[in-house]
Amino acid sequence: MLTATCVFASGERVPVDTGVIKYYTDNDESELDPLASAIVKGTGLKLEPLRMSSGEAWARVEAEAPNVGADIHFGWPLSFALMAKEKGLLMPYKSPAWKNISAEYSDPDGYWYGWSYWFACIGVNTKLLSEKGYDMPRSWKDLLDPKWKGEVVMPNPGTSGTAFLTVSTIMQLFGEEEGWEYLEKLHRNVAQYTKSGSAPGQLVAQGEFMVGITWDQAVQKRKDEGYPIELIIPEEGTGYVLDIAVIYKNTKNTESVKKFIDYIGSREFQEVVAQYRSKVTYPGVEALVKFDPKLIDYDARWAADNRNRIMSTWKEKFAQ
Amino acid sequence: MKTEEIKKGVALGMRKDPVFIALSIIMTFFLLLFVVYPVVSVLIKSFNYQDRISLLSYASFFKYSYYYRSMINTLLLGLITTSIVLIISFSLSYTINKTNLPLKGYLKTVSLLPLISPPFIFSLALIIIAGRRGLIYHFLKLSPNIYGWPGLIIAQVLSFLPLGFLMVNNVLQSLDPSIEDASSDLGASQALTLFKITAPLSFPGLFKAALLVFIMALADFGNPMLIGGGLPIMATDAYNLWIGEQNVEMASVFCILLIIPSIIVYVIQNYLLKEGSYVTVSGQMVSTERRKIQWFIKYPFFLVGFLICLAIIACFAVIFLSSVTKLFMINNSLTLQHFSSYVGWKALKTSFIVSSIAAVITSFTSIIFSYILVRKRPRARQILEFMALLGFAVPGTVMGIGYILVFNKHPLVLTGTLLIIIINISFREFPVGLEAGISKLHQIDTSIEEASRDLGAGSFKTFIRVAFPLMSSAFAASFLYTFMVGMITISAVIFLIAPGTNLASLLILRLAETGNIGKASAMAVMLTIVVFTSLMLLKVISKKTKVEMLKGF
Repeated sequence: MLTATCVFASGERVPVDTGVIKYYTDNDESELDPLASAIVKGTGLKLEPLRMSSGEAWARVEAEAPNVGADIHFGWPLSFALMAKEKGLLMPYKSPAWKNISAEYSDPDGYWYGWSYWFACIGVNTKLLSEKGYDMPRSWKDLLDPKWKGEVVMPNPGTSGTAFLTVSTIMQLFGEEEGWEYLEKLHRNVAQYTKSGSAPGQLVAQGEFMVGITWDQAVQKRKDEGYPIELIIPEEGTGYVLDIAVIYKNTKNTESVKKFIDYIGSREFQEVVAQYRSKVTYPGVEALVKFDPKLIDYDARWAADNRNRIMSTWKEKFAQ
Repeated sequence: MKTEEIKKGVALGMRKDPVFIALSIIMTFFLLLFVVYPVVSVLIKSFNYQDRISLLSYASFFKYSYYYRSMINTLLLGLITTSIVLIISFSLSYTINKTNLPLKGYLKTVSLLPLISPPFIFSLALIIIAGRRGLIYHFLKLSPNIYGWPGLIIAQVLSFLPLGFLMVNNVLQSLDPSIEDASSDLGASQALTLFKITAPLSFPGLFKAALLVFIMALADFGNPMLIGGGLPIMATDAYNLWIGEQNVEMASVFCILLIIPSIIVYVIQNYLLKEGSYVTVSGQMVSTERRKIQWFIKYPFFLVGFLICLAIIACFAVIFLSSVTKLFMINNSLTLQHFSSYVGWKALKTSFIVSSIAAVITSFTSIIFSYILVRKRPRARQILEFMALLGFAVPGTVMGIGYILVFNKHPLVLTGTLLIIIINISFREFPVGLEAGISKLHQIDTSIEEASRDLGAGSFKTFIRVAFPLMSSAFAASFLYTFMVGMITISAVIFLIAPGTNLASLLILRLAETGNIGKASAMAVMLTIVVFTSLMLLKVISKKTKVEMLKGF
C-alpha cells in the first residue's frame, strides 16, 4: 500500500521487474515442459509460456505492437525475428554468456540469439507404403507423382513456420517461377493443410496419411516411440531454421529477460535442448541428428524480405 | 382503477430512486463499452481499405469464389444441421412425452450429456472412430472420408442436439393432450392426428428452436476447425484471415456478414414471435390417461432417438478409452501419462477461475438489470435490451476480433490479462441471465414489493430483501449457464488468451489440432468431470437451500 502511494506521489510509474517471464514459443507439447523446467531451475525465474505456430505468432505480435503481450519470444524462425527487428519491436542486449557460441548464431548488435536449429523434411508411413507396394519418395520432386494424390499432408505457410520454410526452400532451390509450378503440382496431391507444422508428423505416424511435410523432430520423436514412420531428407537438400530467442522492447522485466537470454546460451541448457532437438548451437554439444541433413545455404534474410509477396501469391493460388 | 395503471404509477414513482439511476447509467456505459463498441469497431474496420473508407473489401468478398463460397457453405451447413437436429429432437421429445416405451428416461439424460462437454468433443470422437485409420478402418477395413461435410454435419448435430431437444421438449410438454384425444375421438387416425394436430400446434416452438440452433451452427468454431478438413466456413475463415494472413479488413467483412443472419434471427425471435404467439392452450395441463400410440408411429421415433443416444454414448466412450490408452487402437496398453501435464492442469485451473468469476458477475448484474428493466421501466428499455442481447447474438469470432481491435491500445490496454477474458465471457452470456430474470419478474406479482414499500422500506431495500430472494431461480440459472459456457467456450477467447492465461478448452483444441489425440482426450475427460462435479455440487446446495436451481437439468 505504501509503495503504491509512493508511486502515485512521484507521479511516475517505475517499472518493477516481477521475475515472471511471459514468452511465446513454437515449442511443441513434448519439449515445452522439459525446456521450461530447465530454465526455471537454472535461473529461478517464473515462466508463463504460450505455444503458437510461428506465423500465428507473427500475426499476433504485429497486431499487439507496440504492446507485445510477452517479454520474450523463445523459439521462432530467424526470418520472423528479422521482421520484428525491422519493425522496431526488439530490445538489444549483448549477453556475455554467449561468448562460447559462434558469432554467426547471434546478431552482432544483440537483437537475436540462435539456440538451436531444425529443418524441413518428409515423413512417410512405412506400413502404409509397404501395404501399397510403393517405393519411398527420395526427393521433393518425387512428391509430385500422381500416386500420392490425397495422401500428402502439409502445414499451411500462413500459420506454420515449417510450411513457410518449406515454401521458401522450394523457391530458393528451384527459383521462383519453377518453384510456383512445383507447388501447384504438389497442391493436387495435398489432402489437407494443417495449422501447425508438427501436425503432419503425428498424422502420418498414426496412418491418417502416407506422406507428410514437416520438421525433423516431429518425425524422429514418433519414430523413437515406435511408430512406423521414416524420416526422409530430400535429395535436393533442405532448408533449415535457426530457432532464436528475442526480447521485446516493451518488457518491464528488464533484468529477468537478461538472465533468461544468458541462461539459454549456457552449456548446461544446451545439453538439455540437445535431448529434444536435432542440432544445437553450442560447439561440441551433440544433439539428436548425427547424420548429414544436406542443409542448403538457406537465406533467412531473403525469406523475411519476401514473405508478404510470397504469401499473397500463395493465397491467390491455393486459398480454397 | 385498472391494475395496469396502478403498476405504472408505482413504476413512475420508483423511477426517481438515485441508486437505480446510478446503476442504470453504469450498466449502460458498460454495455456500450464492452458490447457495442467492439462490434462497431469491427464494422468500421470492414469499410477500411488501406486506411481509406471504401467498399473494396466487400467487393472482393463477392468477387472471389474462395470468399463467397465460404458464406454459401456456412448457410448450407446451418440449414442441414438445423433440419436434422429438429427431426431428432422431435423424435426424442415425442418418444418421451407421448409413449410409454422403456428406456425413455435414459434417452433424456443421454441426449443432454453434450451440454457438459466441450462442443468439439464429437469431432475428436469422430476422428477416432471414422478417421482414415480409426475404429471403422480397423474392424471393417473401410476408410471413409470423415473430414469435410459428413464429419462436420454429424459433429454439429450431436453438439447442438441438447439445445434443440430442450426447446422442442418444452413445446411438446405444454401441448394439451386433450386436443389430440379429441382428434382421435372424432375418428382421425393417429398418423393424421400427428400431421394435422401435433405438428402444426408445435410449429411455432419448433421454429423458435430451429432459429436458435441455426445461429449456433453459424457461429460454431471448434468443429469446422477440427473436422472441416479445410472446407471454407465463415467463423474459421475469419480466424484464419486474421491469424494466417493478417488480413484484418477481410476478416472484419467476414464478421459483419456473419452477424447479419444472427441479428435477423434474433429480431424475428424476440420481437415477432413474442407478440404473435400461437399458443392455443392455457391454464392447467389436463391430465388425461396417455393413449396408446400405434407401433408404426412410435417405433420410428424411438429408433431415431435411440440411435442418436447410442452415438453420443459411443463418442464419450472412445474419448474415455483414448484418454487412458497409449494410442487407442494402435497401442492399447493402459496408461495415465496423458493426464500428467503441467500445462494442462494449469489451464484447467485458469478456466475454472475465469468461469466462476464470470458466473458471479453475470448472475448478479443480470438480476439487478432485469429488475431495473421490468420494474423501473427506463425510457430506453428496448434499446438497452437490444444492446445486451447483441453480446449473445454476435458470433464469438466477431466479439473476439472486436475485443482485440478495441482493447489493445491506449487508454484501455486489457489484452493479455485475465480480466479481458472474464469480461468477454460475462458480457456474452449476460443476456441469458437477463432474459431469465425478466421472465421470472413477469411471473412475480408487484403487490409484495408494493407492500414492502408501503411498510416504509426504500426501493433499493425492497429489491434486496423482497425481489432478489424471489428471483433466486433466475439467479441460479444465470450462474450455472455462464459457468458451463465459460468452461467450454472457444470462439471468442481464442483471440484473447496470453501467456499464463491459456484456457483448458483452447488447449484441447490445440492438442487435437496437432494430432495429440490421447492428450486432447484426457483433457476433455478432465474438463467434463470438472463441469459435471460442479453441476452436482450446485444441485446438492440447491436442495439444501431449497432454491429451485436446476430446472431443466
